[in-house]
Amino acid sequence: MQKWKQAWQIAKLELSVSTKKIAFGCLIILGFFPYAISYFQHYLENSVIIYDLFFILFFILGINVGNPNYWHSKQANVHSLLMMQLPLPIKQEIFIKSRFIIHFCFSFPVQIAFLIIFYVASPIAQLLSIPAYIAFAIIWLSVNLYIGTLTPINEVYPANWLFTAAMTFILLFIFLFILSVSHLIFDYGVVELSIIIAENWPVLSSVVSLIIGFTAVKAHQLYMKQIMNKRDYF
Amino acid sequence: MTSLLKIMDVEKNVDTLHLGPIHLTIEPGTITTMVGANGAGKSTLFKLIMNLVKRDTGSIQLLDIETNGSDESWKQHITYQAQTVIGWEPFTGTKLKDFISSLYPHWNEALFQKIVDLLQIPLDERFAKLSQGNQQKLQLALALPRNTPLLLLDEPTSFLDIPAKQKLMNLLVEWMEQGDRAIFMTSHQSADIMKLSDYIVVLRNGKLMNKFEKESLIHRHRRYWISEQLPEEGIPGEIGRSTRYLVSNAPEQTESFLQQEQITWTQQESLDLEEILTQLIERR
Amino acid sequence: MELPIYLSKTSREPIYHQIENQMKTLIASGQLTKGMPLPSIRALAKDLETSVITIRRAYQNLEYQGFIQTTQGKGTFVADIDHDMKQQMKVAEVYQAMEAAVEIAFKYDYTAEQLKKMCLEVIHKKGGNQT
Repeated sequence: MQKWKQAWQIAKLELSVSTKKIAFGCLIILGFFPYAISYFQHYLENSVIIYDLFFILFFILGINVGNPNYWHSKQANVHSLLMMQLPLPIKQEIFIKSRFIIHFCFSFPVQIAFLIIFYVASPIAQLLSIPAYIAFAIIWLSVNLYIGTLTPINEVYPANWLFTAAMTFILLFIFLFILSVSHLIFDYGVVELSIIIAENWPVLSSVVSLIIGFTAVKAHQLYMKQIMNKRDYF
Repeated sequence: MTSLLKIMDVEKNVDTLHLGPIHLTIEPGTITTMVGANGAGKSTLFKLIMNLVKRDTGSIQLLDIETNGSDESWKQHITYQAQTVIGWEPFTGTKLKDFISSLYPHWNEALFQKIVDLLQIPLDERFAKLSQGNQQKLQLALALPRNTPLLLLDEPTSFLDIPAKQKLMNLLVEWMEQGDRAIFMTSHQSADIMKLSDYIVVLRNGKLMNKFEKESLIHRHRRYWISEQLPEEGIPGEIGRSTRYLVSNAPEQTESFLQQEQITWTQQESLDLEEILTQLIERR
Repeated sequence: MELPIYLSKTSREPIYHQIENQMKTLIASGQLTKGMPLPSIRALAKDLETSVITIRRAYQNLEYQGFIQTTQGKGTFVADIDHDMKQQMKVAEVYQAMEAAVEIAFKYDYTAEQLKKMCLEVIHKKGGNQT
């Protein structure tokens, strides 16, 4: 915990000048809220793949899609931040954690806000009790832990926006494929599946999700370290 | 006295440039300047020291700690000022100071304030809005007070005005006197080198030549004004000539040869550092 | 503090030696008096555009010969020079200047007689007594 605290001190510097980025990200993500709420009933009846896809993307990226860092944009490249902070006496481990914190700041608040609004405004309250809905929330927030935390790794990768865009599309197609398979086999979409799981095994599903999530966060930090140690920063 | 910095057998391939093998040590109490043509690899060598660029082979140790190992404590003992700093653009001087000073236990706040007053650096403007000169001044104000034993300065004076340069010289002299410290810098300004450097290293096409002691380097490059006809070739130490003079980098041999040939010179003098460096940087 | 030391590019005399001699002259002539602080090695190296290696050597020699004193942590100061030493220095300086003049004269093939004559002329011109 001490290390995360130190990392927070480092992350604060960038966050202090990120207001515009956060506002822009929120603006981009704004459309998802009414869409997810108003189409929920329709989704349950027809299992729309695209609904699943938006759900997954939202819980992986949060408002990072509106963050120029994610796209390796020239003006706000993480590269420049690396160049500034790598020569300073900041332990690599702390630096990596600070990048994860920044990712979480660009995702968790808006995701949690969505989960609250979603429970109040959509018919999901009729399907899930509050404890079961908490399990549902944990399942989805954990997605951010084990897939979303690839985002800070992408930022230190020697890439440009074209590469990132290509990778994002490839990821989209992989998800589409998995979703299609899920629809074929279970006849349900992933959101529906998560509702069923949360309803039937709330404790087990939460625990398993969190275990996978925290393990992935640890593993992704090590992976990020490896990438950084191989790369040249000019 | 042990070396602050030890570079041994370091090699690195970058695009078309092959850097190394490089051997160099920096001792406390000394100022060493690295000179070389543009693109010779000076900035890359600094980045190799900082482990921003990863070496292919060799060893770089700061206070006996490998800079690419798992022990990262060496970063406490070195300050690196890049030629063009990136990443500082969105922040004001005050914010940068708060951030950087919190990372160094020996931060000297009084020195920071002194430099800011002396060089009149605006602290409330975003770094991106500052002129190049003021950016460089702020970088220096944020470098010296860290009080690390080793200071790496990549072209620290390139954008400074004349008074600021003079003030910086005095600041660096005072900084050096605070303890067992060393500066390793690059510069294209021979005036800076004359005033500050004890040693000079020349980087040519990725190869690091000997570490020269500045004074003896100057002392052994001499120009002889001669009105007589000189032999076409075979003068020991000759590295250049015109119709009126001869330039030598081995004065003893040259003089004994000239005396033997009964050629007299009307005047002799040491070369300017600028001429010597041009010679060293361009020699094939 | 700055010292009126001028280094010659044309001299074959090593720089540390030039510094050493000029400082001795400054001390002998009374321009630098006992107890006066001297610039630090690094500061003098900057002012004279040489290196700390050179200045350190000059200071070490001066200290060894008793012209200056270094106190740990306080700096370097002009030492107490006795009268005889000062006289010796003055004589040495005059000798040195004359040697240089004689060297030039011999380079231009003047004879000893011509040189003596020139020397007397200079003395006369400067208002000295001709004996």
